[in-house]
Amino acid sequence: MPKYKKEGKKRAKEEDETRKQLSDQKSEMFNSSIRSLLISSGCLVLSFLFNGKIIDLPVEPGSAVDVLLILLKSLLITLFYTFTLVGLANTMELRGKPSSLRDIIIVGIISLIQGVLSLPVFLISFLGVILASLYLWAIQVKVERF
Amino acid sequence: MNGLALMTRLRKHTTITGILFFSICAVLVLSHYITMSSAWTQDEIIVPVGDIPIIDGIQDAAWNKANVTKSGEIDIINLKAMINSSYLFILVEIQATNHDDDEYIKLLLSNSSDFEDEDFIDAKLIQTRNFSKADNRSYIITDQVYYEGEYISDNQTNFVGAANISAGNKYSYYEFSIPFASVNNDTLNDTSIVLGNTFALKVEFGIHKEDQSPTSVERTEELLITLEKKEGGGNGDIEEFPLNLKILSYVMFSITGVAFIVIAVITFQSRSKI
Repeated sequence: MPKYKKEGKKRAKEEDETRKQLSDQKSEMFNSSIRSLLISSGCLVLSFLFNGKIIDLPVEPGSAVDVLLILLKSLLITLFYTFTLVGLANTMELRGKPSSLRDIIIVGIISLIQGVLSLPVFLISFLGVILASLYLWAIQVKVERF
Repeated sequence: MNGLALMTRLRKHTTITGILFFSICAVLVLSHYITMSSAWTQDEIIVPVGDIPIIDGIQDAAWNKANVTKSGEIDIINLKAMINSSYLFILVEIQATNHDDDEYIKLLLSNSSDFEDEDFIDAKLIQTRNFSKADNRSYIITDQVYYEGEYISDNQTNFVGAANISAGNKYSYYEFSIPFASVNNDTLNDTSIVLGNTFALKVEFGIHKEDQSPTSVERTEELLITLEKKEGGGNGDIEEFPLNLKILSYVMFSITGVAFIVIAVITFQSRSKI
């Protein structure tokens, strides 16, 4: 009789610990989502300034500065895509269903339309979005494997 | 090596590979935008329909609609060109540390897209005098024709030109208004300028002191210009449905902003799931 009681208490304690661990994991996922979305909102603001031509630097077409500016604009779009996707994926996982291809496509579209004013920016961002998706997919595979 | 260290290494490796691949792709895509070997940033330009500038040697807002090409790194020549229904407008801007009082710009116009000397039958010259002195600055315009290996003055001057220099004598401007063949009766001595055609053009920059010979040619740059021809008739001055890119950009960013706010709200709502 006392042994049974002890086992019952032990099981309850283990369940509590597991619940606490899960709760910690969820908190960490939530915090990660917030951090990712904060970074992506920063990228969105900068992208609006540069890609929306609010800050329109007078550069000579084809010059090194022009190329750097195109790369910067594309990088902002790619970073926005990456961090928004990470934030959204964590949120969806927290809600109990992993993000679908539809979510990825939606985030991809809202990222790429930022580069609609410049064909080079759009093309490089498109490449960046594909690479970022591949990178996130590869990381996911590695995490699952280990 | 534990799993975490291995993952960190794998992540770093993937990141470096990703950045390298991204850079290579970017360089490949942009390589055709960078012209290293050509004297001009664009050695063949389409001349668009633009506004009518005031020919006074001052670069006014009308030139914003012109197509631009640039030559040189130290003494820079910027050439802007546009048309209306009857005239070709060309602005040559010289950015130099020291401008000579007697510098000139001569536009040599070919009757075709060929660059042989004898193809440049027509020349439009703007010769400046006392250029750095604001009080008695002046310029002379001369229409010339190619005759037995040299350019001589044409019987009649069929273009309008003007030259001016900016405060501080850093930038000089040469403006040309050249009539199309449809409004020019000197078909023998002037290049026949027709919409849709491609012409070879030489920009000669030099110094010619008064009553002195020979002329000192500083630079001669060649390019091809094609006069834009709007399909379906009309002079193309009015765009029927101009697309305002600024508004398009705002619309796109509004969509992105709204979508991002939705994602942020969903994320905050998921706090209840913890």
